[in-house]
Amino acid sequence: MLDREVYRALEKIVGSENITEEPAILDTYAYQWCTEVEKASRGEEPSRFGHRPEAVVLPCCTSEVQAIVKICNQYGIRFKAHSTGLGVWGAVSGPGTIQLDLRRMNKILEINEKNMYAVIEPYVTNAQLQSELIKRGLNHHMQGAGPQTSPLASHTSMVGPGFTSASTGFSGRNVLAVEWVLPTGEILRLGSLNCSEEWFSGDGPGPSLRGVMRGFMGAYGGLGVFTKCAIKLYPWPGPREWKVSGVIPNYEFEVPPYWKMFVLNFPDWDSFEEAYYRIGEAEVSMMAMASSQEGLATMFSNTREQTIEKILSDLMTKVQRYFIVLVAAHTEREFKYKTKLVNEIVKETGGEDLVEKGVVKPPSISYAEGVRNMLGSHAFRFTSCFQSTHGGMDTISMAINIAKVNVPIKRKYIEKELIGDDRGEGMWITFYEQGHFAHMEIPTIYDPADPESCKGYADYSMECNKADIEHSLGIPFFIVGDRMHDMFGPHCCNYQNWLRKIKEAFDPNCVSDPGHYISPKK
Amino acid sequence: MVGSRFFDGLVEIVGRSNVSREPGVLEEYSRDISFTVSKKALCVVWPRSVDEVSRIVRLAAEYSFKLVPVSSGKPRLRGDTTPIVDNSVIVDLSKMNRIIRIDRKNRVVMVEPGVTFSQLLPEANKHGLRLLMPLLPKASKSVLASCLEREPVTMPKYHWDSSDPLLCTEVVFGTGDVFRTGAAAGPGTLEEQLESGGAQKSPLGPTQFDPFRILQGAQGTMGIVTWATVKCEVLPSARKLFFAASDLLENFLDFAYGVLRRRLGDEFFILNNVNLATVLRKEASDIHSLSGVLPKWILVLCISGHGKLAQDELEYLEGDIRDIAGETGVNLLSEVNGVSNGEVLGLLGRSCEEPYWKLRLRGGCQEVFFLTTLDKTPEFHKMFTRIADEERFPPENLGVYIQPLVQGCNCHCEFDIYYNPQDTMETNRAKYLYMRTSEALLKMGAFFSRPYGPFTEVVYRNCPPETVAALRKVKSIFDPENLLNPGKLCFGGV
Amino acid sequence: MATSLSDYEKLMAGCIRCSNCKFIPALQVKSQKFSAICPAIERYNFHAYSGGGKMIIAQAMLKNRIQYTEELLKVIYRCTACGGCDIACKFFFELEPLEVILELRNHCVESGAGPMPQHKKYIESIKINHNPYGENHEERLSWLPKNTTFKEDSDTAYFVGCTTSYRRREIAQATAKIFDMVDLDFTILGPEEFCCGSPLLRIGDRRDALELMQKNVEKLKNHGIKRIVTSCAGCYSMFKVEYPRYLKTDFQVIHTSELLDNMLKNGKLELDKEVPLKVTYHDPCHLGRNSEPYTPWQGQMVKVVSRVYIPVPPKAIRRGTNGVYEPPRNVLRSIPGLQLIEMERIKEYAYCCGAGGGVKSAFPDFALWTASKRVEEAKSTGAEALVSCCPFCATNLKDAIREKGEKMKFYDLTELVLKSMGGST
Repeated sequence: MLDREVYRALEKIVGSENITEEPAILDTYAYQWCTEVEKASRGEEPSRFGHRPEAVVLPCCTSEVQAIVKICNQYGIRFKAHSTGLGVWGAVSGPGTIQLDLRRMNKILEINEKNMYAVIEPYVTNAQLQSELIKRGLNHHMQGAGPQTSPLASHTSMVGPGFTSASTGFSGRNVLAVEWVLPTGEILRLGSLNCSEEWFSGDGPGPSLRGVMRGFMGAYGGLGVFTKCAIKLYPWPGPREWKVSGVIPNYEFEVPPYWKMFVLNFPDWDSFEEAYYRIGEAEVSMMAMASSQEGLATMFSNTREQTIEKILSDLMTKVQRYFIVLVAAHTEREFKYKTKLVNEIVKETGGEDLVEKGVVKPPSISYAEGVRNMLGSHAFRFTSCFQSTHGGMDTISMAINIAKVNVPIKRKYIEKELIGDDRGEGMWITFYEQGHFAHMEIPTIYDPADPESCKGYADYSMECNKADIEHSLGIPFFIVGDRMHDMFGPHCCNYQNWLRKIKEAFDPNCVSDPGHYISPKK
Repeated sequence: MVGSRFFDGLVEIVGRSNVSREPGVLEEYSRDISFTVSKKALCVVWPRSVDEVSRIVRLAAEYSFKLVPVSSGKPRLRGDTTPIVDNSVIVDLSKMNRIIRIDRKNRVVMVEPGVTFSQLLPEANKHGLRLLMPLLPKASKSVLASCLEREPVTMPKYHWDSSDPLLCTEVVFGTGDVFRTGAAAGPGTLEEQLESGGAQKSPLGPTQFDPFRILQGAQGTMGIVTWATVKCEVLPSARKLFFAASDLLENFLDFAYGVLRRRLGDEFFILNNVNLATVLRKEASDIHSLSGVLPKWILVLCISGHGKLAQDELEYLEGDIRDIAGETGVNLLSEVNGVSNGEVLGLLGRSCEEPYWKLRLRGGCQEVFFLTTLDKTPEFHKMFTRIADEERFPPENLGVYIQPLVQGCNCHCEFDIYYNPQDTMETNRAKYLYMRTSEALLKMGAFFSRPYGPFTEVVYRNCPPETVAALRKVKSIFDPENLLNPGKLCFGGV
Repeated sequence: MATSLSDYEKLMAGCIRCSNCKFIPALQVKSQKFSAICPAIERYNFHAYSGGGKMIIAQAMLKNRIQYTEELLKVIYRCTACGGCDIACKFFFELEPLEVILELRNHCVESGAGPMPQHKKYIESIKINHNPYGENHEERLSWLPKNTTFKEDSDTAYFVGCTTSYRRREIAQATAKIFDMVDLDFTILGPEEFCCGSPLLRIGDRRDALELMQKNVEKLKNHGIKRIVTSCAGCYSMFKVEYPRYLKTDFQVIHTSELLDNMLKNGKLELDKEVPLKVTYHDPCHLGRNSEPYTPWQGQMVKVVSRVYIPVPPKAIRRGTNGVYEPPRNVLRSIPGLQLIEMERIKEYAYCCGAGGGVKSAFPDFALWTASKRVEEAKSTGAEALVSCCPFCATNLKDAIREKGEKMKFYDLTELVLKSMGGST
């Protein structure tokens, strides 16, 4: 329990309505997806309830966040901030920590249409931002966590793949200026904010402090609080009104003219790889991603029953290695060129378009779900629980190799019935920036209510991590926290030593929860 | 003597022929064309491997000498590679000049610091690749250094992040530690990564920080980079270049924004008459003649087609661009007052022939550049020319280069002050104009994201103290002894 | 049907705290301003207030991590149980946030901790006066205009409901007048009409609710009622959804909007007077997304492959797909001169009026706050009037209009229909 003096100090900042110690409310912050896996991996009883924060505080603005952080430094209390807070990485990682829920900071501060950036607060959601941008003929990069999550959180603090990464890139590469409350309570403004109230650049003067702010992964709440950020925007190749009709779950999307989805199927990895590289270079896709046969069935169905029907049909025999391409053009001539090029590439690489062949028919809603980053959530219709292993990002070739290396590992755990059976072939690849980069993650079903399954998933995940080290397959997602950094660091230029120095320099009192970042000392 | 022991140590590391204390040599490195007040270097050393660089850094720490890294050849215009404190040693990386790898499939090249644009461009082209590069860099410009400096690139469409085209690096920090950034960090050796399909492509990480961003814009104060991977694009098989001309910069804006939003062109920039003439002609008199007949502002937009459907690609791009031009009242031209699109096309994707274009007019050039947004460039230009008029600086010696960046999110705005460095009065006027206009522009909100020379101090004085403190914290991590290029940026001399 | 909180334990454990429950289904988001679906978390901000938050609380309760406190009661009861979280969640998941919320309330009441004092007051009133308003039961039919007649022995009962009888008499009058004008064969139970039980069930007093519901079923049977028509969404969903869920019933349930729509289609009703008005329509939760009956499921979870189970036979999921959305709209579109403009949040993802679930009684300021949000949304369409089909929505929305000094008018559907028939009450 917080010292009364501390509680009163915090209450004075935010008001009594915006702070609580009520155990029931605290538990709704202690409970997080994947806590059970972290616990299982530590040999503890798997449970979604992790550590309870000492209190939950709802600041409304940067000055309140700053004041709270200063109190934490003064009294030696740790803090962890989150936006919508999806996943164990948003929760406090130990006792003596308060949770900052940034829900009240939810304004879209600016949409600079000409210069294509938006300035947002932490609790603006992806769907909210996209809906406002579309009216202006713009779009943004949305992370795969979904339209109900925070783009600020992804861009400043988490990872960053999304379904439109082919054309909108990776969150960490889309950040411009940022307003950042450091763990010490100072406010750091990145880039152009150093000389004006404009947000168009996040770098300098001189070296870019974006390099401290995040890497492939963000600091996951371990390096202060990001209270505003500017993110790059992209053109929206559609009408300025989002038209979805029908009644749940049978929504229909008015697919804009000059949009077409292809499901390009190839007999083997080699031809897939060649085609995937060429489609990237062709610069034609708004979306270009691959999954397994089951994934295809899941993505294009509205219900579990529809999915099973598709899987049991001849989908499994007619689909080998495929990737989905969405051509979304602004003009008829652009559309004609891009679709012609796609067809040429498919022909030359020995592939076929399953949509053209009638094997797969993407419903109109898939277009909407693709650009609104909801396709991944279809997996929840089967299990209400999955998580991904691997995740390393470099090239398309490396991504494919991860898939190949993973199959025998995953099958071991499937045979033991610890994880969901997808024949070991479950996967998700997207490329970024028209094929320049790619990552591969392996979505894996497990049962959060079954300790054996949780432990099984945790063990499988660790084996995947080891395989990434052994086969030089990049650094996967979730290499965060002391234990994982100490495991990977020695194989990666001992980066953990530098990261610890950053932590020590910017958070001398170690008040910004280090649990999913790094602590200053081993 | 300490100096002697240090010198002997250097000889032991790199060999006698790779260290020099010759006065003539030292003089060359100790001054450049900028207004930076520099000190005389103690010696110049040419390492040839990362191991040598690491040992040099450790030796410098042992004997408290400072190191100033440089990769590019002359002319040097910005003052970043001249020492400004005593006891400085120039570390010239030009002998580390291997093109380590060209990877067409993954659109990436790996180069050592001594690899210049003139060296790399033809090789990359042979492999069907082209570079994301500045406008006509000097032939001796180091590709790696250009990337580290975040120099503006001519193709905003391919400029996804401000850090592009820099990807991974191998670096020796001020502690002497060797580190690799991005995917290159590991796991595995570089060869093992290649075997697994990796290409040291992703610049991000490792894990929760991006050390490569700290190296950029750092002017060698954080680490000495010994190789880098650089993002490339596919070499087109067909190209077409358009001009637009106007007396008012404002007239281009709607068109520019329309094209940028749609990412329709490749090379896309705006020059004033003086700068277009300067890139096209070599003699001052020719430059003046041409400049006199050119329109005040010239927009350059290049489109490209690739492979079998190259013509189809050009057709759709041209069609859509013409639609935007029509909607925004811009007339697209294939020639402008005698300058053909072919002439300018011939300069794109190339390094500059001697003499370097920025020195052609008067022999000297002081750049005033900063970041802003494209729509603000007219007002910055107005301020600059107002002051230049007040100072009676001849307009025919003022060049302007406007380069949209980061797919249109911001814009490099550059005013080039051409002056004769042999003429003291002209030099002083140029310096005064540089400082006065820089101050005025800064007050207006110009963001000097890459500050060089004497104005650097002003930039940091105007920054919030938190930013300076944060940068110094970073410096204290990666170069705790302040060995590397001390005194530059906001890092003290001692 | 599940009867205790522990029956939901495995289901609740599937919550990944994704926050979808706070917003309308993502595919329907057209602006930031009108993207929320949950008034509770919109107002109170702590995650606990969301549908997912309450599922976590229920799990914590089952694991004995927490106890009922004054603060926890506020979390549980500052919620209209509108079901918005439920349909948003069910776009991807098969969790049951609404059922859990109601089951948690039941658990709270059975433990003696709940409900709120204001609820206890109206529970007493229902027991004594057969209505939650403390009004005289004898006055229940006092709204009936002298010139409106009905048949004593019809097998169709116009079930007026407590709110309509005592608070929104204009709805009852308009409805009865319409029925009279079209010569509908109907009766009104009058003193035989007791509260449907909705105020009890929604706040977790299932025991008293079931007792009352049983009595009502017997009454209806004794009167030979085979069809219930109601102009109250709350009563509608009780009779249509909850009564068959817990008891054996054999009456048909129809809402006035459905009846009017049918009558228009088969020519029994003609609307020929112009009502020149720009209106927008508010979908009551209990007429819309919460009006799908429960389909009992007798089956098994069958393993498809390792760790993947599916219900066999498939479970019917209540997602609000078959709510009463079109009939009121059809009726409005049939009124000459009337222009219907939709709000952004409609049908199964309509924003709640703020009154239900015991909120109007226990937290009137919160009820008004929510209603103000809805009125703001109505205003944003440019409509001159807000229309709905529920007296409880009517009360709360009208209160908000008045409180904010808005010029916007409010009508029940029946009032506009009567106008277009040239009638008056």
